[in-house]
Amino acid sequence: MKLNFLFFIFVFFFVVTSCVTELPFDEQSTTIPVVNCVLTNDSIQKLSLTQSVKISAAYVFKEIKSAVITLSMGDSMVGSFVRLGTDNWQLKYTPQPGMQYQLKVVLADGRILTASTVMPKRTSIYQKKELDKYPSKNFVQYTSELPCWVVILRTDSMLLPKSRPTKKDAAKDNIGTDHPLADRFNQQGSLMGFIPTADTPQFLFYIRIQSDSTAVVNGLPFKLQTNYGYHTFICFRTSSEEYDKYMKTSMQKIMMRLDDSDPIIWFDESKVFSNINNGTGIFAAYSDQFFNYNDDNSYFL
Amino acid sequence: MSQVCLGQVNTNLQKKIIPDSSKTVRKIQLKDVIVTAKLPVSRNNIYQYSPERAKSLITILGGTDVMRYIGTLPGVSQGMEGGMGFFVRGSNSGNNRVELDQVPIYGSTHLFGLLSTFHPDIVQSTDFITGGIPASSGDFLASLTQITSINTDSAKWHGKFNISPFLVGLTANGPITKQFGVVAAARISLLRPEYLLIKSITKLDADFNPQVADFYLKMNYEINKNNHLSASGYISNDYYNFDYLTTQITFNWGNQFIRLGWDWNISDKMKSKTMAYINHFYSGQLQRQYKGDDKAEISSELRMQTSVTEEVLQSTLDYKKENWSVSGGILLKNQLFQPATEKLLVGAERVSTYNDPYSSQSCTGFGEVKYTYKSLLTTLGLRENLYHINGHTLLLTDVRFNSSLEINSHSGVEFSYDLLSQTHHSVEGLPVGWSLDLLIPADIQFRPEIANQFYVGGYWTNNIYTLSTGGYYKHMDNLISYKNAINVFGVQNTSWQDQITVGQGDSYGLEFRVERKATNWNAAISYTLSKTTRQYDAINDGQIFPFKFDRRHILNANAQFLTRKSKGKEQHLNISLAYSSGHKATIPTSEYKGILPPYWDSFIYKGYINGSMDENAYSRQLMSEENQYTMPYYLRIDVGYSFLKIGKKHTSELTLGVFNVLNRKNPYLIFYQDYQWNQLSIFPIMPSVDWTISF
Repeated sequence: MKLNFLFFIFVFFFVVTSCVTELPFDEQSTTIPVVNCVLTNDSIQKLSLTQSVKISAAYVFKEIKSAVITLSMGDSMVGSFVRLGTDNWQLKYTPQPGMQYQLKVVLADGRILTASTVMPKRTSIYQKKELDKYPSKNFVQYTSELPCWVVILRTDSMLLPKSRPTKKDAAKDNIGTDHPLADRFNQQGSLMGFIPTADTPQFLFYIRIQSDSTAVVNGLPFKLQTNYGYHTFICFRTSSEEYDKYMKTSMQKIMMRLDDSDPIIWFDESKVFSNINNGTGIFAAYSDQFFNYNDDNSYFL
Repeated sequence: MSQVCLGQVNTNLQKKIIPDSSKTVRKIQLKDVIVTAKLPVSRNNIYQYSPERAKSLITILGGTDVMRYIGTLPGVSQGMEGGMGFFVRGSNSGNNRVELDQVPIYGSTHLFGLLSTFHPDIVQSTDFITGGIPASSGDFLASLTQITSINTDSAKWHGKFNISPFLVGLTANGPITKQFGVVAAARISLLRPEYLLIKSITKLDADFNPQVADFYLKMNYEINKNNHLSASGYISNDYYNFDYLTTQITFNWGNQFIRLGWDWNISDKMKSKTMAYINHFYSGQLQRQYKGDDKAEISSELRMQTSVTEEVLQSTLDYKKENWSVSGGILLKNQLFQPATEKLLVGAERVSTYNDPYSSQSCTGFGEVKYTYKSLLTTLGLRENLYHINGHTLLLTDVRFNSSLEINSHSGVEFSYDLLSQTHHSVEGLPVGWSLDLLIPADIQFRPEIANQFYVGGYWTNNIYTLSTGGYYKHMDNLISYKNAINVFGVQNTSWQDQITVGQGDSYGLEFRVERKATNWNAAISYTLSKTTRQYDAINDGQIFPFKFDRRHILNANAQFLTRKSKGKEQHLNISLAYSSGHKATIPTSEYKGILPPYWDSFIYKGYINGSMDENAYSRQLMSEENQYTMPYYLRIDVGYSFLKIGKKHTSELTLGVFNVLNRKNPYLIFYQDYQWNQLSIFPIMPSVDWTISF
């Protein structure tokens, strides 16, 4: 739920009497290496290697240029990342679903950063187009081993089966679902306030579908609602446990700042998930599955 | 033979003594009185205090608050300044049990934790017990606060009227017949008319409707000398409604109970007490959107509700002989929990419900044996709870042991061991002790919370001073916490199962208290030296970390001086001091590059995303180790002055107070914003006024 009013009450009883004063504070920050790498079902894997900066420093991340970075699957090495430009390390490799991967980063000073993840298998989801009627698109889910993040994008041109979103496409920020496993952490009330014919809770930016294999044994029907346009991508991102935790903790921190003048952010002590040993950042994996729609006028009637 | 009694008297005398609440004083001839087990009423494990004692504290809103005094006792660490979040011997705030006439009150605060729901004029005494807990009480890990209401007056009618800037209250107590007496009390807030006054001056568009109230009714009927019936009812309610254009947002919480009791003195040595009650606690939020400003038609509505309903039957039997006593009983409880139930409505039709209620049943048997041998008093209690939920049955065993040895007529030593269990969890948000925390039942996944506590201490007392000191160690298992502190306000999160983690806690410390009780001035000083930690698999990489309110040193002092006394007039000066080490916090230490959420740049023209969100999408804050930073120390001095006028028909008392007279900006949190570190302080200097008339 949107918490602004709770804070309004809090303001009424506490903060009208409270005060904020500047604090001379000796920041005891340390610089640590940061590695970010998310394996995808593309043929090229990317990695970023930087250092953290003091919180009061300018927003510039210092790149670490020298390191030996290897990716292994089980006991066998699949390759080394190569630095192709500023903070741009790449490895030509397509991860195999269901396999565990280890990342090892050896820095010039001898420090070793490690992490592991599993490349997820795609969640088995099928369209039920015959049930579709604005503002709903219907699906049936048959597997639920890992969490899945849903994003819906609108585009202006006809989509081919293998079309993928580009930077000019617009992601829908108010989407709804009746999926019983939808995580309510980013729910914002009802979608009906936004679309009069909708009948589902409204989620901001994404829908996180939690994993529960027992719930989908017989096929779990659900619908996704938004103000669809004529051409739509619906992306189901099956996420490794690490990517899911990183995404959720990141989004919680981001959403706490929905109103950047809201003092609720003063209370933010939350931590973003990291699985990097001897450093921070994330090594994770996801597998995207797209459903492309080119709707005609009958869908909107 | 006669002897001064400092604590409990033996059974032979007890039957002759009128309950201390009675206005009728009878003369008792102290003949052949054998006094044993002279434990002071208040010592480190047990404190008993009257509302008069609580008056020595200055409250933010004015008036007396019996719960507020708990914050000054040893072993108690305060949460947010001004709030009612108390952390006793390293436990969570939700591990405290607060009872009014033995009925648990799950939401014991008004005004988001600023004020307790207990009208001070209905309170006879408050017992705060942290160890050596009676076997008849259970379902908590930290402390038991037993608020006992006043007895009905069988002689004449009298009452009290009280007003402060926030509340107005009325109490009446008197006989209907010689055997049938009634106590009735009510308090309501003045916030709504005050808001309307502000609104008329400032021409605000929005409407804010805060309503705070509590009501208490108690009836006593004395059937005969040995049989006594009582019935009581209690309602507290907080309601806050905010209307602006097409939006309506409401918060509402409260308690309701009805209790029936039957006390039967079977013989001189045996008596039974039976009670039955229905208790309901609720807490809810509502967000409603209207189609137009006229609010004629609802567009959508979302309701979130947490509630607990319990039906309880408890019966105890006490048997006392010269140097030993036995008590035992049974408790049957049926509970219905609805944690964070969501109902979504579109138009007038409900379209979805989220989270089903949980039903649980408890059958508890308890027994306790007290044995006195010369100067040694030993109590052993056992409590077996058969707890059934979701098709599973758990057997929970509580053990209570307390032994005290009187060294001489003034001093003694004490040892206690308590094994405690709690069959509900309180998932806590902001530490103000407010009533919006999520209450969930223990089950197989989130098992009942368990605590083992050891205490060793000693006491010394004379007619004026009481001194006690001791040390404790406590270990707690199956504690519940939000995984992520982001939930500090998100206390009604429907997906709570995914948000919480299970862990354990340890706490040990030394406690000290000296108390002076005399006519001209009373005072008390409490000091606690303690250390408390937590460990959860999903927090701080599973490593042990300091508890947020692990305050190393806590010092509280309060004094009440009789400054002036003349015929029918008294004036008192109240001073209190609160000092403690700062609480712990997790703060950002640096920033690092992050992975952008999916298609983040595609959202950017949609209007929701502001600069701060965007910055946090591209970068991440690296936080310190969990609760690694210690806030600066807390210091506050409050001063109050009261004028008491005692007339033939009525007594009036005016109290003027100043909270935080030093106007010290005690930091509650620090944060980085606008390229600068800042601190937030909650309460500056706060004047208060309170007027009470007794008739």
